[in-house]
Amino acid sequence: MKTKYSIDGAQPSEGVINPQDRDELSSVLSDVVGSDKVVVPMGGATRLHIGAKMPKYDYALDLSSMNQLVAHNSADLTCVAQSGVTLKSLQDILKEQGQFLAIDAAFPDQATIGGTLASNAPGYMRWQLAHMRDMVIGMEVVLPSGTITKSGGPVVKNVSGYDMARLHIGGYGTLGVISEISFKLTPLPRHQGTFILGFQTESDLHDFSAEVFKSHVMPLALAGINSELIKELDLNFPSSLYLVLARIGGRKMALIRQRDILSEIADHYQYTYSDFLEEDPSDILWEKVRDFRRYSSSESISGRLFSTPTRLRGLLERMNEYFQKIELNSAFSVQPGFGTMEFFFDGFSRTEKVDSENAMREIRKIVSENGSHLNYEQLPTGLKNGFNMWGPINQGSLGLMKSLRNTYDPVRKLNRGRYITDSE
Amino acid sequence: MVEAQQMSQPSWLNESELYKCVHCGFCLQACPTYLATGLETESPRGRIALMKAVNEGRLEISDQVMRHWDLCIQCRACEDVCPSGVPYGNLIESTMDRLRVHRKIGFVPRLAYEISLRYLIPNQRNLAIVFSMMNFYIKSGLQKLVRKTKILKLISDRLERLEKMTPSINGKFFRAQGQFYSADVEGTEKIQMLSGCVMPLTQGDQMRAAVRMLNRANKDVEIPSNQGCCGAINSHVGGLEKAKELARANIDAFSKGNDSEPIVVASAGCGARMMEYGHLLSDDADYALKAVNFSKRVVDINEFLDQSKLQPGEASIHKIVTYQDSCHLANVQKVKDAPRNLIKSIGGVDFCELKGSNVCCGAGGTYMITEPEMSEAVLTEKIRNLADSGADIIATANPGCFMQLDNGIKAAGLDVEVKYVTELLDETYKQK
Amino acid sequence: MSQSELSEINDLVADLKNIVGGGYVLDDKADLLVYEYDGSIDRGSPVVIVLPASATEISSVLKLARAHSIPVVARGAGTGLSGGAIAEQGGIVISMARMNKILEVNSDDRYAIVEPGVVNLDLSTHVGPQGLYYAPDPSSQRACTIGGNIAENAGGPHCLAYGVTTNHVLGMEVVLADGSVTWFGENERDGVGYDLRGITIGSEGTLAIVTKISVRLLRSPEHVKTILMAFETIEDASAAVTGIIGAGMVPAAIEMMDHFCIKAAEGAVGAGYPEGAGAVLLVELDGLFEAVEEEYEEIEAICREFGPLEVRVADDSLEREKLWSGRKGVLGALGRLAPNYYLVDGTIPRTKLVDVLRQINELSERSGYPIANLLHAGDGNLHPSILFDERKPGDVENILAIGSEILRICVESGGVLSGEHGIGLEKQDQMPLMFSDEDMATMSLLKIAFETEDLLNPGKVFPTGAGCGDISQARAIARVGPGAYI
Repeated sequence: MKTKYSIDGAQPSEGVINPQDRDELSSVLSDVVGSDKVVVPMGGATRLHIGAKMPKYDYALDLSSMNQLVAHNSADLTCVAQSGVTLKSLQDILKEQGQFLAIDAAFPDQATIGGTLASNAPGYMRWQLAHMRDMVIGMEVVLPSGTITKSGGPVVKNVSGYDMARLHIGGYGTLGVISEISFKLTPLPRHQGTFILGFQTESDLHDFSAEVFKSHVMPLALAGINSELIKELDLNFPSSLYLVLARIGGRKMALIRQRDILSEIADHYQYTYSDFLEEDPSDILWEKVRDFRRYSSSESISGRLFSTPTRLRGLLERMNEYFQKIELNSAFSVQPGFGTMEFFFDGFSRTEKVDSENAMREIRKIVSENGSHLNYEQLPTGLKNGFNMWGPINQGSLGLMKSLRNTYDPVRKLNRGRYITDSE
Repeated sequence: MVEAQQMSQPSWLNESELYKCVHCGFCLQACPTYLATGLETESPRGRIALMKAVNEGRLEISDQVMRHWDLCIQCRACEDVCPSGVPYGNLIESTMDRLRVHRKIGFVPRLAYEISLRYLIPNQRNLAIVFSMMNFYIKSGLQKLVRKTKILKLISDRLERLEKMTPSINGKFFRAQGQFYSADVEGTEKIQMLSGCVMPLTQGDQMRAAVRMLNRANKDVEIPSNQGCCGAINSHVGGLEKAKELARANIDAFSKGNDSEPIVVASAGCGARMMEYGHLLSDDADYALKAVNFSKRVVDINEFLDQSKLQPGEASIHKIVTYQDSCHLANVQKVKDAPRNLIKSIGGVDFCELKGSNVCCGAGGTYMITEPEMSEAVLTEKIRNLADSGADIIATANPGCFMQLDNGIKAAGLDVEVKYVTELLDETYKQK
Repeated sequence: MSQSELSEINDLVADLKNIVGGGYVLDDKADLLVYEYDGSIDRGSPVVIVLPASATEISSVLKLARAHSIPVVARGAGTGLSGGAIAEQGGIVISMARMNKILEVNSDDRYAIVEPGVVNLDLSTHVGPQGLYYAPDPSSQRACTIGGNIAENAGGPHCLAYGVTTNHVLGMEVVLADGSVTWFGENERDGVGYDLRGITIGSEGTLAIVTKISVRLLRSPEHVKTILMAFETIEDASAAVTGIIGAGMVPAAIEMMDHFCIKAAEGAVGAGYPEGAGAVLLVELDGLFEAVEEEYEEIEAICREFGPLEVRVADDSLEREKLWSGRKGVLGALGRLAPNYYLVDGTIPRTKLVDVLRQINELSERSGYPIANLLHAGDGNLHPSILFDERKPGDVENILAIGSEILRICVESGGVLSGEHGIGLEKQDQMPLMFSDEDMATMSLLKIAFETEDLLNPGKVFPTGAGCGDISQARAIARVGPGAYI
């Protein structure tokens, strides 16, 4: 039976723990859990599929009861929240004051801020092309031993002590459990809208994006999606193989000016479709794109790719060639300004021409040759055994990561066997 | 500073000036020798730290320690960027003066050194003889022969390098002491002008151009007699007593008829030295006040012409022109805009800013002769930037800079002319 | 020094010469003297200084240091204000002066790869013609190096809108304590695994030595506007700051000066501030032309509510420079009010400005020492400067106590010990004001994980022991040049 707590088909053998506050969380980790037991911290459980298959799964540590907004200092553009607060409930409160947290993960009604940070799921909103981690100014973490520690604080400029929060962002809860976070907030743009362009070629997509980033437009988000994804999302943009979505915002004249600049740039291209969505329709479109994995099935394979804007171009070409060769239709969305890409395709059952693992290795090879990095985020459970989902990383960094893991969680109480540090 | 008071030796340094330095490091990137070496010892902050260490009895003056101070070009760019207002020029000047007693140098170099500083530079007549000999060496074809045969290289590399620095002599000597050049118009103001020591011999043409420009600005120009070298060279190498002597002579020479007229100076280094006579003679009971008054009268010719709002002549110069700040004009006299304004006012000129224009070229008066290796290292970077700039002409405001740039350009085989700013202006009045 | 120690040092120097070449190993008395300081007032003499040219050479130096169990301190330009580059426990100083090349500029991907000795401003100057710049702009940017910025996670006035160093570094090549060379991240804006990059930035050189840095570059703004506003009281000015931020605006910079600073600046620079002004705000906006103009209108309207005595606006660079002149010259000008000043660095939540400034004012009245306030008000970074005369008996002790008290007020108001100067030696003993023993123990575990054997910049950041508070803080006095723009 699949429950919220299922991971690769397994249920927690010892049950679920629901701490109500940091002290309970601390005593759970120090007292309740035996040293050989494995605990999996989780929030909304939207990204539990990520990582290697764990040999042991004793406790689900569900943090969704720690869902209090501790402080919202709206005049200071900062807030402090417990890690189990869902992204949506936080954004709803912030919105009342005309603010938002520039983190835009998928499924915000389930995803918690702690889980989003731990599993490095940033979404599309890129305030000044910054990283999600740049919004965090302080963090409280409960170590596997139960020790409660903090770093940073609710001020926007701070060089006091080591910047410990960094370790836990993208750390998949392997060094400690995030209990509370201080964020830097961003004013909501007064108006926003999305400029849509349809193209026939991928190179137009890249050229257009590059020109946008050379202009004085500062998009809130810029994504390119391919025909497969357009189809999956059930969007009605006729005769376009690729769509570029440029989300812009600001006060009235600033928005008009940015729209004008985008139109001028667009005029250099043979676009097949052009539109501008304002406010609500723009929001709805982005929600669909953001949550695109909703359309994938449990047999789908999905991956996230880290590259640079220019390398991404060549990489996509090579990947497309390969997909064509093995007759696969992959849905993808790229963030050309940021150099990242997410893709998914349905499992290999459709075609018997290739061996699944070989194909996955082949794709990774293409990525490596390009100098980029790839994490497989979702694999059918059957494929997970023995396949390293985590992208390769240089030996020096990996050694240090393992050392950090040994230092902070020597018995691997948290997420044993799941993270890149626990691979052989 | 407590330690300093306990020292048996009286300090040669003004402690209140010395301890103004809080070693923030803002001076590093302004210092040409730090830029060339990356060494803290060759930075203003490091040189001051060494002075402090000696002052506090933590360090003995040794040959090695002296090297670090000797390598200072004394461009004083550090003063310009110092947030604490450390008067570095004063500190290094008194340090150099003090070092004379510590130097162990051979008899022959010492003799040459003393002769130059005591009898050559301060004495226009003797200096003119030397430069006439140089002129003969160049014009007779002897120089060509020496360079072609590379005969000096056989003797020593250093000598060969020195030979390359033989200045070119531009036109006849400017023998103008006691002369009066009238602007020939009604109601003009009279000004006085420094003729200098080396400049009237190597750059006679440019001096004449300067006088013409002043006349065009409706000024009558008087070149008082009995004036001499400003004393800059002596003070840089540690001859403060001789420098004071020269300063007193100049104060007398320029105050004979009138002690309120502006004293216009066409070489930046001399102007800077003369502007600081007040400080130099502050201990001299007879001259302290006169010196302060004198210093107030001193004005650089670029600043003077820029303020006169004189329009350039009709001829235009269709060239890309850049400007190398003469250190003592920019850093001591704080004149940076005036020469640029003058150049830009010339019709046809395409002015481009030189990368690192405010960094010294390595000339430093006699520095290019006494420290040829470092001087060349600093110059190399300058010439590289000049080549990148694409300029046809590089203008400057001081004879040392002029010679150094000229040498560097020739050695690198660049197609760039060196000009004085005033010389460029003068060209706009020439008939086509 | 004993005979065996001397011979060990001689061996070390000989080995170092083999690694980097004889000319790049310095151990003359004069050399040791000039590498014993940085921009702070501390001193610590190294045994030897090396100037390597590559990561490979640094790797060999670290291996050698480990074999000798001798500390290593990396040094950029030595402009830091908290003693980060000081060889507190002697050992080898690695100067980055020769590693000062800009290796690559990629304008399409908007990043540059530089060596650690590259001067901060040189990078922006270099990429400027391509319409790009490097955003972090510490006040010492003409001299300080990117490597040093990484160690201290340096900020600057414009980090209000654009963030501090850590927000602008994509990846870096480091040498670990065992001499191994590796990259933390690359040119990508996101990656796999723990954020080793992020944890190394701001670690004050205690975890690894950075040898190459990939930084992201921003597009130069189309339009810049500077607004100067004078208010009758500092309360009005603070309320205006809170009003601006609270209304959802994040200008590029918001700076503030109180009446002491105004008086001093007026005398020195003649900035022309209106008579009777209790505080002056300087707000800078940049970006798209329309965005700047629209935001300006709103900001002006907000500030009007607090009855400014005067509002002045500058659009071109010359005019902007004039408005900034008073602010930039203020430290130098403070010298007109008193012989010495002690500059404190702390950050508070911006909404606490009025409250904290009131407390500082009360402290000043109670103690009888004038305190001049200049602030990076937009991000709550305070620089109260206590005016005193070091020749007066008891003054130094008194102002140290006041400084401590100010930091305590900051922390109690939800703030932190340092906004931009770092902990280093200056504030290591005040760390317990902000962090529990567990917090600090957790932090210092990083040194274990990085296997530094505490040979990388030892004796920094964490407290050295009880009762040393006043001593370490004493080092902070008079360490900033009065003309520095802090």
